[in-house]
Order: sequence, then C-alpha cells, then structure tokens
Amino acid sequence: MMFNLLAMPINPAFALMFGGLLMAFIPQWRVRKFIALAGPVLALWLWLQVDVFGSYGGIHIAAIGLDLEPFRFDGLSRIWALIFIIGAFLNAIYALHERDQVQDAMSALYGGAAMGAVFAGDLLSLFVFWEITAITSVFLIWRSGTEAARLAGIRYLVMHVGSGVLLLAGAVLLHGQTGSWAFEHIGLETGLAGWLLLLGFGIKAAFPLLHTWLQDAYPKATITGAVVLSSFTTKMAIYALARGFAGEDILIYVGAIMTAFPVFFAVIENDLRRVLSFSINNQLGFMVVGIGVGTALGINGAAAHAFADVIFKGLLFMSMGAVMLRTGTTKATELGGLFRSMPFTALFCLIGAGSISAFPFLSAFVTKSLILAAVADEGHWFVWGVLIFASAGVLEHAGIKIPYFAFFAHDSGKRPKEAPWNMLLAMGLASFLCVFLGVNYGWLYNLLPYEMIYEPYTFDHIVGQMQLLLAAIFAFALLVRIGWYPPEIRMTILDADWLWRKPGRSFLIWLNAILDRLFGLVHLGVARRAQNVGRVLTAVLSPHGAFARVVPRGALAGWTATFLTLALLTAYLAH
Amino acid sequence: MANSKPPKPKRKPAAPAKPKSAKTEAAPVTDGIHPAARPFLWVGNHGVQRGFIWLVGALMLVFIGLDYTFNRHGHFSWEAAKGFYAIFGFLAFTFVVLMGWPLRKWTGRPETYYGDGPYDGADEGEHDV
Repeated sequence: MMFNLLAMPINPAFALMFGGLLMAFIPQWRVRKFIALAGPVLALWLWLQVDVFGSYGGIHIAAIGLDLEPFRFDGLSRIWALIFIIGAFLNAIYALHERDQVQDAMSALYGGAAMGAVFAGDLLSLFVFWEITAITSVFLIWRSGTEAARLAGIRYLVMHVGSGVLLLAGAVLLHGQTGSWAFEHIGLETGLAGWLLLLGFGIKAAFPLLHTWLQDAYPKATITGAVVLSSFTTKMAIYALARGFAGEDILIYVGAIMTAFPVFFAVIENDLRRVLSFSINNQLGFMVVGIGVGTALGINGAAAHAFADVIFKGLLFMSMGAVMLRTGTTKATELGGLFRSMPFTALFCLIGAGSISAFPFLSAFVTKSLILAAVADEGHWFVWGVLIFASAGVLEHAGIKIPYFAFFAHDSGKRPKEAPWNMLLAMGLASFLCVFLGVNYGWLYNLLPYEMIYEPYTFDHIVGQMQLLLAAIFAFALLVRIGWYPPEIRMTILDADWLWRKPGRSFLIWLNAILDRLFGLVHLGVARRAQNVGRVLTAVLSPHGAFARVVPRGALAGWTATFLTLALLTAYLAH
Repeated sequence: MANSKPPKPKRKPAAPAKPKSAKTEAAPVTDGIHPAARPFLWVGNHGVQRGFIWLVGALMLVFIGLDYTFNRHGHFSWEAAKGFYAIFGFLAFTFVVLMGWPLRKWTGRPETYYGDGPYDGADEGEHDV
C-alpha cells in the first residue's frame, strides 16, 4: 500500500502548502527560510516526476456520489504549475532578509493553494483552494501594519470571498444541471450557472469595474507581499477562464477594455506600485482576449503570456520593493536619479520594463505576439487595433514611467544603499529568465497546451515592433521636452471603487440612521404597549390591585382552589 | 644577568595631540555613488537627457526606412502602409499622455481624500537616505 502510494504522482501543491503549515509553527527564521526555498524545489521535483497526463489520487465518496479530482495534470495545468513554482522560488529568495513568520507561512500557503486550484479537476476542490488563496493572501496586505492597509485588506477579503461564493453557487447550479462536479469547459450556454462562475472568476481576474481591489490593495501590501501577490491570484483566475470559458466571444471585448482603460490611469498615478497594479490589469487584458479568441494560438498565447508576466511583473514589483525598502516610498514625486546609488536595481528594472514592453529578445516579444496573431487570424481588426494601442500604453507606464521616474528623471538627491544581496539575486534571476525566454522561446513554446507553428522573429515583426516602441519613446521625449507631459503630483486618483467608498458608504450610513430611527419608533411603540399592559395587570392582579380590593381574600382563595381542582381533574381524565 | 639585559628602548615622547576639530570628528564624507554607477553618471547629465530625443528619433527613422526594403505581409491591408507602426505608436502614446490632463482634473483628489491615512513604507525598510 505504502509502495503504491509513493509510486503514485504526488501533487506538487502539497509541497508548498505543507511547507507553509510547518513555517507557521517554527519561530526560527533560518529554518523557515530553508523551508521556503526547499518547498518550491521539492514541488519542481514532484512536477518533473509526472510523465503521463492524467488525474491522480481521485477521491470517490459513494454515499453522496461525490468524485473529487485534486490532481489533474494536463497541458494546461502543467505550464501554470511550473510558473507558480518558479514564482514561489524567486519570491522566497527575495524575502530572505525578512523575519516575519506570518508572511513566510502565508506566502507559501498562498502559492500552494494557487497551484492546488490549477490542479483541481473538480469545482469543489477548486472552490476550496480558491478560498484559501483569499484568506492567506490578505495577510500579506495586513502585515503592512497601517490603517490604510487594514481597511484595504477588508475590502480585498470581501471581494475575494465573494468571488468564491459565486463560484460555489455556480458550481452547485451546474451540478444540478449536469450531475457532475467536473471542472471542464463550462461556457455561457449553461445559463445562470455559467454566468455566476464567470463572475466569480472575473472578480479575481480583475474584470472592468470588478478590478478595484487590485489597485486598492496591492500598493498597500508589504514590500515582499506585493511581489508575492502579483504572482498568483490573477494568473490563477486566468487559468480558470482558460479552462472554463475558452472561446467565449464576450471575453474578447472584456479583455480589450482591460488592456486599454488602465493605461490612461497609469499616466497620472503618482505611486509607482499602483502604476504596476494598473499594469497587471492591462496585461491580464491581453490574456483574456487570447482566451476569448479560444483557438489553439489564442490559448497558447494566454498561457505563454501568463508565464512571462509572472516573471517580468514580479521583477518590476521587486525593483519597486527594493526602492521602497531603501527610501521608504514609491511615490514618483519623491524619487528620481536613484541609478547613481542603486545601479543594479536600476538595470534589473530596465530589463523588466523592456520585457513587458515587448522589446525583441525579451520575454513578452515572443508571448504577446501569439495573442495578437490569434486575434488577427480571426479577423478582429478593431480589437487588434486596441491591443496595438494598449501596447503603446504599456510602454508608457511600465516601460518608461517606472524606471524613468524612479531611477532617472530629475535627481532627487537621495543616495540610498543598493538593495540587499538576496533581492539583487532574485531580480538577477528574474532578469535572466526574461532574456532566456525571449531568446530560447522554443523551450516555452514546447510547454504550451497545444501544438502550434509560430515564428516570432520575422523581419516584419521585429521592424514593426521596433517602429512602434521607438515612435512611442520619441513621443515621450518630445512631450517631456515641450512640457506637455503631466507632471507627477501627490494625489489620489479616483477609480470605480469611489462608487462604494463614497456615495455607497454615505448611502449605507443614511440607511443605517433611518433604520435606527424606524426601529426606535417601533421599539418605543411596543414598549409603550407593553408598559400599558403591565400597568393594567398590576392594577388588577397585584396584592393591592382591584381584584384584591374588590373580591374578599377568602373568596379569592376558594375560587383559586376550585379552578386548580378542576384543572387537575381535567388533566387526570385526559390522561 | 640583570645587567646583560639590553636597555629598554626609550619610548618616543608622544606626539602632541592634534586639536580635535569638527572636520576630523565627522564621518568620512562620501557622495553615496555606487562604484558600479560611476562610469554611467553621464546618463544623469541634463544635456544628455535632452539629447536623447535625437538618438531615438534617428533610430525611429532607420526602422521606418527599413519598411521600404520589403513588402509587409500583414493580416490587414493598412499594416502594409510604410511607417504604419511608427505613426500608430506615436499617435497612441501622445493621445494616452495628453488625456492625462483632463483625466487628472476629473479624477484627482487630495491624498487624504478617503481618510485612510498614509500607507507607503510606514513600518518597513531602512529609509537610510
């Protein structure tokens, strides 16, 4: 039995989750850091042990007809699990300087749960892991220790637990229709069940108007927390969409909106970690479009771009985290000229910026182009135009704004120390991967869920992309030179969450006051009536009441005895 | 035996203590520049930053010029127009940036607008600048 158990592939997610649980009880930080690094290594080893696609370790509960599939290893889950393993490892290195037991444990549990969700072959297992990611990740926000982080964490938790509730409701409805809990293609033809599931996934994928938790919470997370958060939640949701809603046309348009709207907000946002949060939204849009197209090229594009995004977006968050560690802020107004004292961080940030902007020989060049090709193949010319427009927008906020305002621009006079060695190592490895993927794209393409023939390095593609990027950089330089580029100003930029944080909150306060008064009046009315009844009863039945006064006491005793005797007799006869 | 001991070398009289000045007491002054950044300090030069536009402009023209060396086989007909990507990139970027002005006017509020308090780096980091 034991032999068979060991011979069966083991879910790599458990390596991270078990490590996270262990860390929760280990006060020695050196031991925790060892486990944090060993967890992803063990997970990678387990990932490599699975030779054949399939579902392993299924649980069948005959009494209630329940089939659980906690470990489905196929083309789609394989690549997502690998990038989560890589992300967890890089994040663990990045956090080596930190001594926070809660964050150490929660980061590993969170990463493991995200991987568990990716491997889940049924909707109930997905729900469980989905909710674990919500509960564990919120600690990475709360551990900042500020009041703003506490409130943002609560808003974050409401949205994410709500997403899980929608998922569960959709799963139950779907089970009612199909009699199965299996997590396969769902589609919107399933009616309400499909819509609930799409909405549940959409919250975590930061669909337009459901996205605000991202820009609200991530910039308020801890330095390492923001890096960890950028790796898992949204990419897990993209996986769920790819599994359940590939080919749904609505996603093409939702994704296109996601790519375009954040670029406008990112231009005027002063907090560079919030700029990166808008950038996450924008990059997710590309993936959602690819899923909406739903062809092999589209799904491959979404998977490949998610893979690259975990690395380059993590790298950008790491560089801003290093800046924050050393200067205490990521506000563009407070920064500038840091390349003089943090040259390696600046270099790694530039590599991340070049990657996300899709410069040739860097990762997004070989991944984003898959999505653009998929969109063009299907003849969606308008959406294709939006994606090209958004590509110029990406360059603006992530490619130029982040490195320019932090490390170059005007000299802020700040001369902080270079980042700690562990942060530099994590950023260095991530930078290496950005270049590696951009050059050895065949390695990544071989991991994609579907077979395809695509060559990113054509003369057309390189020339077109370089034209786009250089013309956009030229526009930036020109606008700065003539003073048309909006200067950075310390302010709050309103987003859709204003609706519930201001008028929504005011409405609730008003409603609360109205209900308070209403209940007060009702309560007063009831109390008065009760008081009147009490007064009447006291007046009649108390020792000094009317009854006592009018009826002679001896007669009252006689009547009482008579009634009691009658009652006893009735009870006896009835028995 | 005692006489055979070599005479102890006379200790040199201690040099008169230098008067302590504020200059000698202070920590060694450094400019905070990382050694690896020294060869690249010219990047921060104002003139270089202003001149950057010419380099980018020239490179852009080179890549537009390359469009004339081949016929692009795009998915859409307008992709074949010479310099299409450069024009699109320039216009898109300019539009995004210029829209920032009205958008800021419309959505910009004081930092304390929500009343949640500051959040950046309150308890973390060394902030040793």
